[in-house]
Amino acid sequence: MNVKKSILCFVLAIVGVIANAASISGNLTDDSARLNVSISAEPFIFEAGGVYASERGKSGYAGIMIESKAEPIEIGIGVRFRVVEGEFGDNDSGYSTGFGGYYRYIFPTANRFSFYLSGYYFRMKVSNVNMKWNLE
Amino acid sequence: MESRIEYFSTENARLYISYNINAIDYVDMDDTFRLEEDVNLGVGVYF
Repeated sequence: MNVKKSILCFVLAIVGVIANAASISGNLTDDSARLNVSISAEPFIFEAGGVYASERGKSGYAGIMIESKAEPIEIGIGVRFRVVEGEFGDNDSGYSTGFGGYYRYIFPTANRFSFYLSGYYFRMKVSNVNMKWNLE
Repeated sequence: MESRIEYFSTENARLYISYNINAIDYVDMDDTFRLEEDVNLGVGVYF
């Protein structure tokens, strides 16, 4: 147990040393909540997050991405491991691995503004689950 | 899938309006199930 804790502390310390930026973002509405956390160790980004939607379900993910920045464009591609618990009926929960990324365009003439697009495609991998795919 | 229009209010804070879709295709459902389909206001903090 102590060995596992030591390894975990070592990994966190390494990530902390090499990380040069981090972010927390999210939003909250009357029936949903979303939170995303990322740590950047260029060119890699480690990220985790989740969404809770009242009466519809919840999901969470952890992933790693590689990014490239050349103003005004930022692009990242990566993989995510995701767990979904829908509230649709029987066998509506599962986990999967997905591929995707993000694109950000910073408007050169108004560089406080940017456009951001992110998407991931998952194939559900658990037997006894009635899901075929998931787009996040 | 998420699309945003973002505004950097300061170097360390970003405000955005986003449109989120989280769709799941179930075997026994004609249409996709939308775990999430919302327009949201969000905030990001960078440090």
